Amino acid sequence: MNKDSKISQELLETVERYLNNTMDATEKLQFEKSLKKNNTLRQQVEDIKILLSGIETASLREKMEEFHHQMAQEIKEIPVRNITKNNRTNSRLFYAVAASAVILLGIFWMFNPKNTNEMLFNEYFSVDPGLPTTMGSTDEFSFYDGMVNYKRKEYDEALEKWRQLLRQKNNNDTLNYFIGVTYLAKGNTEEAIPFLEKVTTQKESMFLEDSYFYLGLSNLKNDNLEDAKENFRKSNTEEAQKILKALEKK
Amino acid sequence: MTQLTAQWELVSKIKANNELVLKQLYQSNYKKIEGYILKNSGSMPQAKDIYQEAFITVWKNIKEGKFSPHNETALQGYLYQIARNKWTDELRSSRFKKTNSLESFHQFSENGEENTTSLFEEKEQKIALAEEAFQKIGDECKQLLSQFYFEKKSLRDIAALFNIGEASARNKKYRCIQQLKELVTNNE
Repeated sequence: MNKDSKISQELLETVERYLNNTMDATEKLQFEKSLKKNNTLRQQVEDIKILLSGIETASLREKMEEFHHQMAQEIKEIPVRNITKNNRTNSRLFYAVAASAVILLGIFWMFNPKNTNEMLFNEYFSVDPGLPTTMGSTDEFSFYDGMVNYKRKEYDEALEKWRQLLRQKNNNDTLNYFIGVTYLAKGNTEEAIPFLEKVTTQKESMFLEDSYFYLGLSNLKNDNLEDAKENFRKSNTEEAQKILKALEKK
Repeated sequence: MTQLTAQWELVSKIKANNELVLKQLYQSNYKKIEGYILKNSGSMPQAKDIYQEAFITVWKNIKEGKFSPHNETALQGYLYQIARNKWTDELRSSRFKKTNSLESFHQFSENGEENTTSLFEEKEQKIALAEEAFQKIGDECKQLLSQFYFEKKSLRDIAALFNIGEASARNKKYRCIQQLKELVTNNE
C-alpha cells in the first residue's frame, strides 16, 4: 500500500459511491475515464478496496463466532441422556420420579388461573391469514414482499421488511397491524402491544376491530385480565364476544 | 416464487451482508460439514476452522459475482464442496502428507484459489494485513467501520447510535479509515 499517497475524504466517498453503484451515469463515466488514465488514482482505489475488504472480512469473522456460539448454546440446551447398563436401575428410578413430577406439575398447571388464560389464548389465537399478494403499484412491492414471508411463517424476514417501511409510513394502519400480529405470532406480546394500540387510535381503520381482538389476546396472555376484557368489548368480532363470555364466566 | 428465484434472492441478500440470512446459512450447514470432517480424521476445532474459511470463500465469491445458482440447493452444495476441497487440501498439506491419502478431486473450481495466480495471492495477503490492522484500531473505530461497511447502516443511523451528529460521524469514519491505512502501511 502506498505510504505517500494520502487518501482524501472526497476520494474515499467517491470510491464508496462507485462501489455501491450509486453514481449517476455521467459521474461513473467520468470516474472510469480517470481510472484508466491515472495510475496513482488506480492504486489509491485499489488500496481503499483492500481496506474495505479487510473491514468486511474481519466483521464477518466476528459474526461467525457469534453464530457458532449461539449454535453451540442451543445444542447444550438439549438434554443429553446417557443410559448405560450400569446405571439402568438408577435411571429407572429417575424416570419414575420425573414422571410423578410431571404429573404433579400438570395438576398444578390446571388449577393455576394464569394457565387458564394461556389455554384460552391458545384456543382463540390463530394467525391472521394476511392479505392477498397481488402486486398493485410498485411502491407497495416491499410490503407484499414481506407478506409473502409472513404467509410462509418467516416472521423475522417479514418484520425486517415491514419495520423498514414503517420508517417512512409511521402511521400506516395496515403496517402497524401486521407488524403487531407478526410479533404476536412469534409469541412476543411485549412488542406486539404498542403496534396494535397504534392501530386502535385510528377509529376509521378497517383493522380496528381485529386490532382490539388481538390486543385483547395479548393482554390475556400477559394475564392482564381487565385490559383484555376491555379490548374484547371494543371488538365486535364474533371471536371476541365468545372469548369475552368465557372470561366472564370465570 | 420458485426455489431457484429464492436462491437468487439469497445471493442478493448475502451480497448485502443480511445478518439473518448469513446466520441461517451458517447454522444450517455446519453440522453436515462437521460430520464430514470428523469422519475424515479431523477434529472439532479443525472442522470449525475449515468451515469458517469455506464460508468466507463462498461469501467473497458471491460478492464478486463468481457464483450463480443453477438449482434450488446450489448455494448449500457450493458451500459443502468448498469446505470439502479445503479439508482435502489440509490433509494433503505437510502435516498430514505422510499418513493420509484420500480421494481428492475437486468438483468446483474456486476461481483463483485453485489455479493460484500470484496476483490473487498477493491481494489476499493484503486483505489479511488490513484485517489484522482492523483488530488493532480502537473499539469505537471498529464499531463505526463495521456498522458502515459491513452492516451497511446509513451515517444517520450510525450517528444516532453513537449519539453524535451526522457530520461528525462522517468525519470520524474518514479518520478511522486513515488510521487503518496508516497501520497497514506501517506493517507492510
